[in-house]
Amino acid sequence: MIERIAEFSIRRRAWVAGAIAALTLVLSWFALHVEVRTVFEDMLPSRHEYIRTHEKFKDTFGGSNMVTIMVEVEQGEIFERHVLDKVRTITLGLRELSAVNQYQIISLASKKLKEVRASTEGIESRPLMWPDLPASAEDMAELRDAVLRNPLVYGPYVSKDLQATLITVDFIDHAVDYATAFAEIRALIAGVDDGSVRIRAVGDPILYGWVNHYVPETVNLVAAAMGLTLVMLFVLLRTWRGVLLPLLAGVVSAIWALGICRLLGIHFEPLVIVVAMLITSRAVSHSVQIVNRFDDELAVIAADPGCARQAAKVALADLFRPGMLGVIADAACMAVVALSPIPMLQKLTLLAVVWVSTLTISAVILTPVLLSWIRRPHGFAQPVDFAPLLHKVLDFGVWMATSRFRYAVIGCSLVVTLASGLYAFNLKIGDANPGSPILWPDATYNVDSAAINGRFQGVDRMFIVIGEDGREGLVKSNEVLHAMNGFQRFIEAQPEVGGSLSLADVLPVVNSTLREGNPRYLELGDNQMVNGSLIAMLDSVSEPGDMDRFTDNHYANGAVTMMFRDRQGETIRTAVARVKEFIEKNPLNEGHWQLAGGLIGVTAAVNEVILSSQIEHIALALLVLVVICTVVYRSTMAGLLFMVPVIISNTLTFSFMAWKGIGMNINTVPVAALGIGLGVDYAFYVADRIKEEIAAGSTPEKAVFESMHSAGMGVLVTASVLILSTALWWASSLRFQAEMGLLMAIWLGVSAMSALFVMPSVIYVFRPAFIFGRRERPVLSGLRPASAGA
Amino acid sequence: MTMASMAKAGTAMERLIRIGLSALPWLIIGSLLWAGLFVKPQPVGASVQPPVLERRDNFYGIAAGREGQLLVAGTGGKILRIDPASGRVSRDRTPVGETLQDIAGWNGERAVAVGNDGAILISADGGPAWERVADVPRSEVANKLTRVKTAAGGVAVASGEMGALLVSRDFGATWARLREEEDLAWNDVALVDASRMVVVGEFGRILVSEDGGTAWTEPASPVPSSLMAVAFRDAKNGVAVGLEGVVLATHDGGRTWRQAELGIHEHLFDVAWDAAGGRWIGAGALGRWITADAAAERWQSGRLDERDLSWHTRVLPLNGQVWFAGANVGRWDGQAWTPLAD
Repeated sequence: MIERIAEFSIRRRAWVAGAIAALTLVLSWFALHVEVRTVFEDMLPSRHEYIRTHEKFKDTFGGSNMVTIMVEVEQGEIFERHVLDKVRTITLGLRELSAVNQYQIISLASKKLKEVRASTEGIESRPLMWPDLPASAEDMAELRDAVLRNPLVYGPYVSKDLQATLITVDFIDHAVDYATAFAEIRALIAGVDDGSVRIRAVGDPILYGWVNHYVPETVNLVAAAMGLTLVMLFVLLRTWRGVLLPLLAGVVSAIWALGICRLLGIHFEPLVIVVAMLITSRAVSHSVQIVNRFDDELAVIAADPGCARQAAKVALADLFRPGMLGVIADAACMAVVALSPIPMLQKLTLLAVVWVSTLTISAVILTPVLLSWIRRPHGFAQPVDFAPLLHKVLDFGVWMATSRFRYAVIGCSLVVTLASGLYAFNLKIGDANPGSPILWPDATYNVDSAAINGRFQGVDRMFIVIGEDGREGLVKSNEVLHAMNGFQRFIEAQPEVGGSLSLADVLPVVNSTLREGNPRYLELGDNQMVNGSLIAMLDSVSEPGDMDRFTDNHYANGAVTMMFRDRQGETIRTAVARVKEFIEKNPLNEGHWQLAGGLIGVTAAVNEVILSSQIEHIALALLVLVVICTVVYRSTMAGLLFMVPVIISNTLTFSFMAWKGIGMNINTVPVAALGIGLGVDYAFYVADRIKEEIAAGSTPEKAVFESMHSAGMGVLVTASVLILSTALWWASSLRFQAEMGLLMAIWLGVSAMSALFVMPSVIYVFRPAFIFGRRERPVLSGLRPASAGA
Repeated sequence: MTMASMAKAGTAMERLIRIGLSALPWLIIGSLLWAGLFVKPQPVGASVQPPVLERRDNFYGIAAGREGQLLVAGTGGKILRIDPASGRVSRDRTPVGETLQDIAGWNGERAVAVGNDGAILISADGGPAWERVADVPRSEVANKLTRVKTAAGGVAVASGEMGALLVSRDFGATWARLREEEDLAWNDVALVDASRMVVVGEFGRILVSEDGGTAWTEPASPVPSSLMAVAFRDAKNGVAVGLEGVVLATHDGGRTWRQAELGIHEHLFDVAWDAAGGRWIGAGALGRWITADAAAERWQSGRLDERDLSWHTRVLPLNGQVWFAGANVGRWDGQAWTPLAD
């Protein structure tokens, strides 16, 4: 079968190459038009309880695309005309932005922040600083006192030291384009920034805006990594084919994958570039293996005009099984992630599976087909030969596998695996540190975020809803109001919760105001009648939209909004667990609680989904791998054998993540999933070659030697090249990419090490029957009758 | 054992191992499938110990307790014990959830706290053991008790909404009305000596009794706005404060009152005689403090801290320092304001 494919591909090489070229040409048109952007809604597991609540109430109680802008003075107070003028200009400017939620722009200069006052006619409410700035010093002092008196403003919107004030704005989830929002907000800030105040902005649109901002740098890094890869390949392999064919394999599969992506209507997330690089590195690896095998074959056959053709055929046939196996295992392990209910992961999985699958053509078929056209296969393009050095390393591997040291190798691997396996349980779900893990701690965004969280109650919000659809006025009930109040006291005991806000905070202010400003009445009424009349009073002085932050129009559902100082996984888990604890201990007679909206609510849902599917992903990916190996080699032992490198590389990588505080979140999950399949590719080549040698009649020692110096050479070359080029990513301004680059380097390093040093020992010691036992006809027997001993 | 049987046992053993080995992969495949399908880790949160001083706490009342400690009472029935020397704060267990409005003691040994919905707590040991007093006279309309004052012999008088003026003569064990219900709130009472009481309340009203609360006279008040607190330094000289910066002084045991002009408009909520400092001292909204000489003639006022504009409903001079309780609790030495932090 394999022989026939090889025969056909080489005989009809013009047709095969032509077809691939034509297809590539067509797909490149589509690939050029693929959309590069982050779509927020794709990150949400839409069927999760929290997301349903979020979707239902986000327009009223605040979505997850909130931007918080802080205007801060270094000396004195914000109550200066020139400072407040900037606040006002920004507030008014925000209304002009695209996809902005007009009803959710809140600042001192908005109509929303009001003071409720007692007057001779009852109570009245008036905006603090709308429409105009305070004209005189007295007006300014009056504004300052009004702010200080108002617990809903002093603290939440004006810092306790009066040196900073906030402007918050919400963007409409389905319409927001992060790049646009980022650019518009930056332009707005730049318009008023004269150096007299500091203006900082945070929020997801800003965060992902920064990611987009760094796309050009990322593109440069990709180019640099590719350049380095090519230079190193040229140095190590010493031929143009060793440089150009892997490059071509990478480019062709990228074009195919992106083209198909565009046809399927999937957009490309900037953060996914890491995954793309990872897959491209697979293309390069496979292609280098084939070029390497081609070179090996040339060394043993006569240098006649048809030798390139013959060698290409042998390379294709010989590496077809491990190559295909590697590609299919990668794709299948990755495909498991599609079980996740998060659309972004599903789409990314589809992209990755398609991309990996294209390697079957671009690397496994195209490379040998093009090799068959090589005219002067025996020359070298550069004089420096590193091969002796590399062979020394490989000799060391052979010695480890065939000497008594092999037992030590197996023992050590076992210890390392167990130890790192145990340590890997420290891996955190969600963000492991304060600030965004996408950016470095000293990035502007993280510095701004820390500054705002230090001065205020917290930037990131979660709302939970209490009430019931169709039950008008339920929120006005004594029970619900007191439940809200009790809940807020309870949840604020957690230090990371900077504060919370609900209707139950507004009514005490009204109550106290009605009682001549007596703070002994700064509390909810103790019966329905009092609370009902407080709300009626509040309603009478409110304008449409004023109560949106607290309740829907019919008072059927009310919100408690919590402000969080960070969004670490641990913080969110604790908060959600405590919310549930409170609900369980304080059952309601009417209405019910609904978790949870806002950015923190959404993140909680995503984290829960990732946590609950973590074991599922790893177990099913391993299962898929075992099954594929079992089927291909018709031996359950094969499945078991190839689990070894996978387990080693994954426990080590997960331990590294735990050690460096890299959390498992929506961005790292796909990289980790791809890594599972990645760990095994190299081992396939080495083991398969040993099997081939044994089948051709070699002794075990000779088989190990041959395998190491041919397949092992490919592994050593590609691993060292790719490790160095992925290490370049450490220079990225995006911490996420830098860390993922490092992670990939570790993955490649560990899987190469285990393929070169651990697998031969394991195979040599345990002598699995599917390699040693059955005398199968070698794949090459028909192609290479004369070279059985090579 | 013969060689043959040993060999047989050996082959049997080998066969067992071989069966075990060939079953192993299936076992692993099975367990992976099981783990993949059924193992769903659930989130576990860290446990949180609520701090003694919580962000939403208001402390309406403060009193000197045993051994130099302070007692504060406030939101949700909370009573805290503060050690001024170390700053250590601990919480007493209380049997109520109603907000407590005031707390007072008898020489540190016994104590009483009053609050919303007619709640009265007493303690025979000055804390930490508190019990709720049953059968407190109630109104049908409203029952918030805002202040309580104590005097020698186990006397206590609590004042509050709907004309509540309740007296106890047995360290708070039983309570009786001093006056009939009426639709106004009495905000504070001063127990001037064994028989004289002065009460202030809404609409600037003032009551004086010279026989322990049986007969009352109502002197003319110079202001129509609510008076919030009253204090006497001896049988004759007293000060009352109220909303919008009102300060009244009397030099005849409460029969006549004269308004002092301080030029401030913030609400004032409490006033006390600081015997050690020989001065009057008061507290109010927006961090306001007021002080005056013994004659209550020369008044001064200011803010505790330009950046901390919290309101305070109680002021308590103690050992050369002054404690304020309200939206927060802290001490003031005349210069610096040091709020308690957890």
